[in-house]
Amino acid sequence: MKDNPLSNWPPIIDSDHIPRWVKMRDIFLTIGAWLIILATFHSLLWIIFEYFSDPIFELSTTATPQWSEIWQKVSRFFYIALGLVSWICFLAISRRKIINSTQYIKTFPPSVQMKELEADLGVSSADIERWHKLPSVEVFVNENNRVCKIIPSQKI
Amino acid sequence: MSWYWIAGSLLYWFIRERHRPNYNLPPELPDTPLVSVLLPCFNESKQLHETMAVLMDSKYPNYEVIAINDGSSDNTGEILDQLLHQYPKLRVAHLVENQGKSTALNAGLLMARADLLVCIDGDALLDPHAIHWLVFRFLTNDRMGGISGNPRIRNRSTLLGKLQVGEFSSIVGMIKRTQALYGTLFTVSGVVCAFRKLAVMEAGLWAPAAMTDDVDLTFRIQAKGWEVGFEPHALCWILMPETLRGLWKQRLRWSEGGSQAAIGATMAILKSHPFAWSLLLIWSNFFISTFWAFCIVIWFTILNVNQFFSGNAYTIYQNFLPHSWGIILASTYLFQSLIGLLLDRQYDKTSLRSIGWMIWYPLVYWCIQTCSCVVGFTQALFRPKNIKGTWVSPDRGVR
Repeated sequence: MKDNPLSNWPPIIDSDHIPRWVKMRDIFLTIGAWLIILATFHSLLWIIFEYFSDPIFELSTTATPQWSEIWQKVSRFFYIALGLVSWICFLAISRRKIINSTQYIKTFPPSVQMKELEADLGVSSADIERWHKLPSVEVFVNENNRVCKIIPSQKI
Repeated sequence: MSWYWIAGSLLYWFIRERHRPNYNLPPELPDTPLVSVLLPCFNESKQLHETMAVLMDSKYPNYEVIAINDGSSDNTGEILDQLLHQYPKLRVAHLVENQGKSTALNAGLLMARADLLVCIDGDALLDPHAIHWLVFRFLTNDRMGGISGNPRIRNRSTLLGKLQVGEFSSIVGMIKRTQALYGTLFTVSGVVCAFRKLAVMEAGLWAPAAMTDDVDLTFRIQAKGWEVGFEPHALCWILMPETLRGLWKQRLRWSEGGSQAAIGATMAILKSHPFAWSLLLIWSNFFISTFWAFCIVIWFTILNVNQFFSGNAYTIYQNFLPHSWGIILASTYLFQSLIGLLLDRQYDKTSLRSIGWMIWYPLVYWCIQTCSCVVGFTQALFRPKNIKGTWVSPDRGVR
């Protein structure tokens, strides 16, 4: 990229300039966080491990979880999630042509409509055309936060 | 909702995204209409050279850049005047007094020669192919009023920076993909977005009283019957806070601004003609999520206070560790992160590395999000209507 002060693209700023202790702190804290999560998951992980180890598809040392009780707790939310997923699938399939539209549409600048809107904003087309030609301007704003005056900048 | 976002984003990828070429090989356009890039600046002297150099290297052949200096107190104005001689495509507007981002953008719109506007922040680096992708969307849908680009995090120095890389893929990107399926977005990302000038003018321009100008305008454009879409190929590299204080301030502002816009849009949605059903969906989603955040905060506070006064203060820490439902939510979120990062891998090859850091989201980060949602919504309810949205000097991370 010519004139580009950034030598690398994408312009990611990584942790090269960060003190070593900060990097180590972040890594150790994150490992700690994973261990906490794994510790809370340990019963579940153990059941999965046991289920798939020899004898396969059987739980020999752990008591079988109360699946019906768990399902009773979870089922309501499962059906809500299923309903939402079904709805978004239906919507996506029915709108797939619009979502993936690639056909070019020739649109003409709606000049009449634009002029009406400019008038609504309290600016004339002549003013707008003049502003379009100016490379540098000073902008004045009124108490209603509307642009009330644009003049060529004196700074250049 | 997590499964809804996962399904929606995978559908979006399957229906649209996978058919598109790589982001740096955009499709050929039959026509390259003039585009005005609006660059509002407030005290951006440190970033301006960098932003402008990248912007001027865009591969799109027909564009102008309008930099709006919103009464900066540093030397932003002088830098812009110097750059004017260096870049023929640049035009500059100096607001005599600081007015806020919305007014700056409105001034830029009046100066813009083009019917298509691309807006980026003063510290954001627009990918050289991004304008091309945004124009492609306008040329293939004449009801498309606004498009959100795909913001990517630049600063990944600290834990918070790395965490936000994952967040933007697994939360922001996935929600936008899903919402794009019904042609509606809660917000275009103000840091990189594009509009038809006509749509902005029909919606009544950017509102100076809006705290988050992007959310507010997105709602109003859609209430006028325009579609709003997401273009993941239009990349923009942004700086995000890397301190907890900076992050909290930013999220609080987003939450307050989002709440303000959603509350303000209520009547516009109800009165919209033809009725904006898809916008109602987004609006309801926002209020249900906010209600959920309030429930969580109230329940968790009562739980801890109760435990504290019943003599079990030493075991309060256990409430912060996931149990049963917490495990389900945490594992679902980690799965969502993985899908989000895989979907965004084509735009950011190193994004998958942040999966390791994502563990903080279910453990800590979502607490910040939930609390900022509650505080922000409450502040929005009691915010006087005539206060102007102001510029904030954001935490731009460790550089």
